[in-house]
Amino acid sequence: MNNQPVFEIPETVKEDTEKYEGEVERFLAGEIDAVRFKSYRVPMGVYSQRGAAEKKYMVRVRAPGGVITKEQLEVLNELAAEYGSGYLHFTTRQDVQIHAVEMEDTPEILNKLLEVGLSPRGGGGNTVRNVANASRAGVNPEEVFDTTPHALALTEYLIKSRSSFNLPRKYKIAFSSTAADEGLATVNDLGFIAKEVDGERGFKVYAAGGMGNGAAVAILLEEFILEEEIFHVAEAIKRFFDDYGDRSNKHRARLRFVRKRLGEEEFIAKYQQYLAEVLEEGIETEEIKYFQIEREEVVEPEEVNLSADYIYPEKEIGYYSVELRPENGDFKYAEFKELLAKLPDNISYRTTNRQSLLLRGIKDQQLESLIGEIKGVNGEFLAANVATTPIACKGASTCNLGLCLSPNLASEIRKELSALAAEKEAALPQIYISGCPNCCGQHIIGKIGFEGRAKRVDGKLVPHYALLLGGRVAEDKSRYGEKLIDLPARRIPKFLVALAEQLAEDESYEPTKFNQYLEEQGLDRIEALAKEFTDIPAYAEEPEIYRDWGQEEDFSLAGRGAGECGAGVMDIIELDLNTARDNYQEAIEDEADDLLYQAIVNAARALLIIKGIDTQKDRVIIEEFKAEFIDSGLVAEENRELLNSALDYQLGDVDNLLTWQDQVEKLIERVEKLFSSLNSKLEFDLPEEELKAGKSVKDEVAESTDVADLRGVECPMNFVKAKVAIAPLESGASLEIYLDEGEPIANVPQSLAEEGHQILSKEQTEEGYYILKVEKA
Amino acid sequence: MDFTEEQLERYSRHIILQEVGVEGQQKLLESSVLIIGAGGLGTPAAQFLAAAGVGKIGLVDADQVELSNLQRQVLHHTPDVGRLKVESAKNKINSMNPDVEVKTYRDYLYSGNIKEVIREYDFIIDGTDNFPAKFLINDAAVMEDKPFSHAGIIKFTGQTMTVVPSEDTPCYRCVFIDPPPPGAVPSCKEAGVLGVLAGVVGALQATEAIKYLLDKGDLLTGNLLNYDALSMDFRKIEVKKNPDCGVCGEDPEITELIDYEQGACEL
Repeated sequence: MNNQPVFEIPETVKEDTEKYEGEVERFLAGEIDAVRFKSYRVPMGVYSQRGAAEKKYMVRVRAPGGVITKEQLEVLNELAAEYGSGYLHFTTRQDVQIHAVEMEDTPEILNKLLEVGLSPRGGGGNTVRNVANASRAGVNPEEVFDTTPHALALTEYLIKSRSSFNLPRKYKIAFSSTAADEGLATVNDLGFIAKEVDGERGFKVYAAGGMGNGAAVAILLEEFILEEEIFHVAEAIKRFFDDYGDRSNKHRARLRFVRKRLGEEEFIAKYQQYLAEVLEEGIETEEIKYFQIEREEVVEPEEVNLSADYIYPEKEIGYYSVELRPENGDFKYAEFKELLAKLPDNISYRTTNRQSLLLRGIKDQQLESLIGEIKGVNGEFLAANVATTPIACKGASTCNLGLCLSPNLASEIRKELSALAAEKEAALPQIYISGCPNCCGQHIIGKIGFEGRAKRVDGKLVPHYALLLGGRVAEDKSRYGEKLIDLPARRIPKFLVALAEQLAEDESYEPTKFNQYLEEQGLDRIEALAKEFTDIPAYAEEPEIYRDWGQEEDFSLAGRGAGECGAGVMDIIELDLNTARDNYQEAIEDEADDLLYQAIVNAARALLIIKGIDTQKDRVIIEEFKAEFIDSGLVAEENRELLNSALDYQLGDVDNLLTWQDQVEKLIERVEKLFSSLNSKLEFDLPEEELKAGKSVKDEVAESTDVADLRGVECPMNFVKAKVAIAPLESGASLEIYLDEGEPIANVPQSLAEEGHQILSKEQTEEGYYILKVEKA
Repeated sequence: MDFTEEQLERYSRHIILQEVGVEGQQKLLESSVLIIGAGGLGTPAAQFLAAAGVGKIGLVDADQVELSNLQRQVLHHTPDVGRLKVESAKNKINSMNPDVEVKTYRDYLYSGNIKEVIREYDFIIDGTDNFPAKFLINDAAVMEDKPFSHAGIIKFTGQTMTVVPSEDTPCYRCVFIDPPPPGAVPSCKEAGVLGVLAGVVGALQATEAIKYLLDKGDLLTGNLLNYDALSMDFRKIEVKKNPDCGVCGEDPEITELIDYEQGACEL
């Protein structure tokens, strides 16, 4: 048996890294465009980063099963210092990220990573993502068996196959070694929980769960499979997903949407067909390489103070794990280097799904001095209570989809809670924060979770978070938290302090049974407490509440735009539209010109957020609305005069607006129609003739269709869609079409040629798909 | 052109055809066809036009569904007996294709209302069962410059022709001049009709409508197609424009629509 985890980067990944290097050169030389290059870059785990003035990239390195060595950590840290922003970010998927690197340096980074057995391949894009594993697997006294060898073997099996890198969407797999499901198997696309039945090792299997949009807890797929069957199950799900995932809409592509579409029964039946096919065909599985780390036996274990929850006793008597919880998952270069140098050689490392790093195999005698050493580097790495270490997504600072600055809130919470007495700190569970309704901060599995949103008070935006309570993850018991109430961002740290105090005083409350407490009147008590924190004073009284944490300026959605986090923006638009409607109704009833004026301004303001404009100035609202919506033809020309009259009214040149009432209603209706047509990318999704309220938008449409990505679209729909893409083009204009190999590339070019179009070129990419260049007849 | 995913899939077999394509399908979705008579000819025609995605279909019929209709009027089902035909047909079309707007007229058309109704549509299908109606439709269509498909069926034979007044093609009256005297020709109630014959001829009318809307192929203008189901003969008889035609001739004497007399019968 091996004495440490064994994982080898497959040859295919090495070859792909070499090819990637070539593509980077071509991209930098301007030989391939950014869109095409992206299809090499993202599946290689190299993401474009937002926010920086010049283009920077982030490299997401996978630590399969959370397994990582000291040497690897050292290399990562050095790379972050040499090429990146000087810190390493530990994610909630056990990856380690190097931020702010230059494109030209990425091949070098990838090669240096390969030398120590690491790769970001599959870190992003529509790929098999890092296979997650309970970070305490192998040392957890409660566990059925160590699932690490399985996570590693399955990773090897999946990433050696190139088909794992061109799926309809991401495919996330997780392993848990206990029924407590520390690895989050019940909220992933595919999850395995270790079981032993009649002396045989195996797994209970879950599928089609996930936390993003359309969040759903996974369903039970198999009560028990033998351990060597993980490959077959994962392969069957992969093929099933490949065939049934909706490639045409990436927001509805994940496996859970297949389940929603087919229904659970049909979903399981289909999976069983695929499994039967895989079993019959036979696949080349990997060896599950068991390992045993050699440890000295501790004969007389020392008494250890376990009050700080970063210490976990291990399975082997006298050994402990210690969890390092750097603020927001970030280790700074110098501190991390110092820390690694101080850590003895006998300990091993695991990344976690909580943005932390787990040190394992620490002997009882070492423990105290080691903790002292760590605190010597930075006391913050060892927050005594997990409550004081909120998990937060990166938020609106780097993610231009985000609404709120979640890491700043996390830091404030950390600051406030750390100042409390230990028993009060310990009263709270760990807090999960997402800056928007997406789930990057996993807030829906937190016993306490916060979801960023914005609300308008007195015409101004106030950053808020919805408080969610009662989320939990465990075998057969997983459920997502429920929204209770919206709290202003600025009030949350104080609310949590009050909550900690209330809980610490409540004799019926036990910190380990938070969810049980919720069920027994706890929910009502917390809600009553939370209500005390919802008050929003006027701007003059407390301007801070109108600003997000860490911000000097008032909260604004300006510059936030399309993206998954658009959901928060939608709330605001709806709010403005409702206000416009109310103003309009009252204006008609009371024959009040000023209310009609308000209706016009609110209707005009509603959709400006999508264009990145958020202002309180009526004049600006009206001018921008004319520029963005009337000039572009989205709103009829006849409204221009209405808006001009509204401006005149405001200036006092006109004192009667009521004559315009019918036109105001039309304007509101049009804005409502545009609003309800918004798709998840925050584009207006109306038939073309309805988009042309005034002026043609055809030119824009034609320009934006120079690439048609028809990968994953089967015959004959790919031909249908190719025709749709060609139709708006001028004769002689050309178009690039991405097509899968096999039937699609064999048929579509021929069919297009038969219609008289000219095939200019046909080129196969390294990913296997083809790029077809066509000139319209 | 902004098709939804569902539309792309629904009409994929059309869009693949070079003669239809994206533009053609868009045209169909923007077109309108009026079907006069929701019976033996009208229902199969309506069915295929709706499936094809003709954006608006008008249905004219004042009758209710009777049990004896079901042998050939395929959009009406047993539970529909007693319902208005236009309602029954509209109901089926709505569930078949939500892209289609169905407008119903529970009226008989006569000289006083027909022009106004047909004006709204791009193409007319004559699915009526009596000569007065056929002449009325022909005359109104010629006067309003509306293209239409004529058809008639009895026993085992059917006939159809297409008239495009704007292209000066022969009209129904060019060929048949005047309706036969009431009672001279047996109605299908008396003579009987093979159910499937209605389907074949109604489908031919729908084919003509679609070709006209797409502006593809050769229409059955200047030709009367005669179909004998027993011998399985399709025969095209060339017809010429009649210079003395009462409505489209050189010196037309009919300038007002005529309501001929004859009791209606069920096709």
